[in-house]
Amino acid sequence: MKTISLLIVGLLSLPLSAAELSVDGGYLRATPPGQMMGAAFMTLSNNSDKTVTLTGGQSAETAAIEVHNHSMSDGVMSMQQLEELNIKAGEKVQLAPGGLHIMLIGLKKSLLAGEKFSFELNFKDGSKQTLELPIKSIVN
Amino acid sequence: MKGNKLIYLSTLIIALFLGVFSYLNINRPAPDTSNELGGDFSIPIEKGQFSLSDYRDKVVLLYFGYASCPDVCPTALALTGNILKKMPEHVSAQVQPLFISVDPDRDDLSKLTQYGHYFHPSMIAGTDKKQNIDKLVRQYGAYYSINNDTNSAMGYTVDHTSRLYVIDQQGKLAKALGHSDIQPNLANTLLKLTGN
Repeated sequence: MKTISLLIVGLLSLPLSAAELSVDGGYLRATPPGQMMGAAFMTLSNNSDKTVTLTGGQSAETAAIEVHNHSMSDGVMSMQQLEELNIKAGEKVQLAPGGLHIMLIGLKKSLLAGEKFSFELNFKDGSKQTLELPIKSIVN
Repeated sequence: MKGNKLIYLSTLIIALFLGVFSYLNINRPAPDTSNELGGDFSIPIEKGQFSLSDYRDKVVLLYFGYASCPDVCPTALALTGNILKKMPEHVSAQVQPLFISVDPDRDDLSKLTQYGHYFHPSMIAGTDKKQNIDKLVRQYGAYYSINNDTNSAMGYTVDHTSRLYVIDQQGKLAKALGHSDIQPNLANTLLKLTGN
């Protein structure tokens, strides 16, 4: 039984799109009560010889999942949706606080620290990659 | 005679000019020569009203943002709350954190109360009608703007300054800490203002 569940866990953690894109250090930020917007951060590495284009994602637990970016101009922070995020062959793109992030819009429940959340990333070529990421709190 | 006429005419023109000038000056709102940002305000919160004048014995930390903000506001508020939790109790007891939402359409007062408490148990949060928020934002030299220019499922986002306004025990704006200055400078600023 233990072996079977270990095997299942092992299979689940394999990226579905044949390791073209690897995801490291991914996590979601725990959300305050009543906050229906969330953010996921991670480093995406393109191990293939072609550009990989991330267009967003999906989950039954959210209304929408999009790629967003922040920019700061004259001290004013603004946030934009990126309809396409290109990760060139052999390149790494960091999604980190204050910059790029995966935006979870219309969460059906709060993201609680210590739990995990799974969702799919969508790519322009029609492929998908399932991620299961830990939820971490920034509040001490 | 010609010379006299010229002097007379030029005097008349100068007088007219001065008259018009002072008339315009009187009718213009007095310019704020003090250049001072900040000052007293009152804002609805779930339990009634937050009035800065009731907090003369405390240092008030004021942040303008919106609860749907996924990254920048939570980062600034978590830093603020975390730093306060690390301060000696006699210092943190003299500090009142306050979050003001510039997005009253999406943020109601009971949601805001929970939102504030998440970052620090003593954090108060409120919002007001757009007109009053706009006035308060100007009063503190902050800025925000609703950005509809998006295909995002969010509908709209809010462009805004991310600053923590440190208001001293006299109700005067002592410092405006930029987003990246909160972590390195907030603890020292609070220790100084509370006489430590």
